[in-house]
Amino acid sequence: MRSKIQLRGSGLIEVVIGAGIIVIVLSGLVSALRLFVHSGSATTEKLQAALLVEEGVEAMRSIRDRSWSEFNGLSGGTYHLVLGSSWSATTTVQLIDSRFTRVFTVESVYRRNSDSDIVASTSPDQKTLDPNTKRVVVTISWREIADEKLSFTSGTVDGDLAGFPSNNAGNGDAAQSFTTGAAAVSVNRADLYIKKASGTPSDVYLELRSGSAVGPVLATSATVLSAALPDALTWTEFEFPGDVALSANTEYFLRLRSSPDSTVAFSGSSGTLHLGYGQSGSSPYSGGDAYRYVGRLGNASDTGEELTQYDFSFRLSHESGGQVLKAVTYFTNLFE
Amino acid sequence: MEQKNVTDRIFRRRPYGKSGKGFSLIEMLVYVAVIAIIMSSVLAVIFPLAGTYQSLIATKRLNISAESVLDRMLREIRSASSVNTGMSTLGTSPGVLALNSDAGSRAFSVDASGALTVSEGGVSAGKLTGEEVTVSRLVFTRVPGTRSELVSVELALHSRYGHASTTRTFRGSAVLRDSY
Repeated sequence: MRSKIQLRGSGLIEVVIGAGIIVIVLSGLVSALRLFVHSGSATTEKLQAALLVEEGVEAMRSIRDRSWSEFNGLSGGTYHLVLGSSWSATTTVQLIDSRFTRVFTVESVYRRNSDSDIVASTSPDQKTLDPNTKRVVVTISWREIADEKLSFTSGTVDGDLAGFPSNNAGNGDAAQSFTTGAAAVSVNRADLYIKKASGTPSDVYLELRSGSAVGPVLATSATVLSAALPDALTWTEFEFPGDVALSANTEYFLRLRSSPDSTVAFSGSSGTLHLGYGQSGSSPYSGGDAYRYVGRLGNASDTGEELTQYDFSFRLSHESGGQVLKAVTYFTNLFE
Repeated sequence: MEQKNVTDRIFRRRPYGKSGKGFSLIEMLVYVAVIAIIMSSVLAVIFPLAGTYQSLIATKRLNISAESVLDRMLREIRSASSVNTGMSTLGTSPGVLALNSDAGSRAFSVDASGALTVSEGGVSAGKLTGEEVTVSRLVFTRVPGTRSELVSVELALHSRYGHASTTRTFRGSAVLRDSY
């Protein structure tokens, strides 16, 4: 009787259990691979950050070499570094590659009277301020890998549809609407699938608007320089300075702007960008539509031409948690 | 009896209509449906896996190239005495950096294939970027000073593997230690 049962082959329950096991194993594999990809790109960011920290220290060395009094004058404050014809300190926030923030402080150094060793300013030992040595702390901070919230990622391009901004014609901006799901979400980064179609287009930034393509601006991204725009369709990051709270089941608009403004004819916008998009008989993305020529010829209330059969590819995500890398070094007044 | 049952199963010589033996049409339909569902979910998993693998490789190659290029460049800048401004292309991309140092001259440039190359004493010493990694932007900035000289490097690398591609910008600066 027992052997007869075994010979009956697998029942539906067994098939379902077997399928369940396969699905669990595969989903485990997929999440493991996701983790690898995230840690791979986190490695890139750590490398970028390590180089930026090192660069910060070298820049401080260069400032020290230029003038000790200038270097000394930076004591006490928190500054960013900016490279013009030389490195200099600024209080204006410098966002490096839309991701990294680098600040430095120059602090006083105390030496113990007994052996001239450097001690903390809080040390109880007998100590003296050394005016010719400074402690420099360079700190890089950046946001972590994004957690994707909403996306439409089908992207091809034929070159004609999504040209932006039109060459000095004032034909306006491109926009894409989307609808949030059943839960409210918070986002601080958007990615667009774009490429530059000509040599040097304008610098661009992204607006997140409510109501329509010309509705109230909820957030404006950091500017992406045209030099950093890719020649082939690539996901390009637009970082918003803070978290943007999006309500549930609500339509919002992403509008790509240029600097100088593409909506003003002959404003000096140069070159063309193309956006990756999906196409079908109706709307390939059910949550919204693509628009072009938003704000034609500087008309602020022009919501543009709605492209019902098309949708521009986009990703909206939230980056959380701060990563920090720090370098501490001491500089001495060698020359003055 | 038991033995006959086995051969019956193998050769599908089964009496129809008796419950517990053979498959009914309904059972077959259910099994086919279940297998179809499993197969479609397995395929749905496998296709993104291929893409994930490609982007992993592209990122890994980018990291390795960036590390070896900037490590070498910053080391050579640090040990140099001066920048040969006549031989260098500064401030624009693709840049060329020619350095004078006690160990002989060093030059970094981008070749026709987009790879970053280094030459020692005017003789090519090979590529620093790896397989399918190209330089999309390379700008050198020289900061001369009365007491020391600094060179800043901005390097954007593009890495492609299959359908996956990634571009990242790396920045580094170093003071020429022999310029003091």
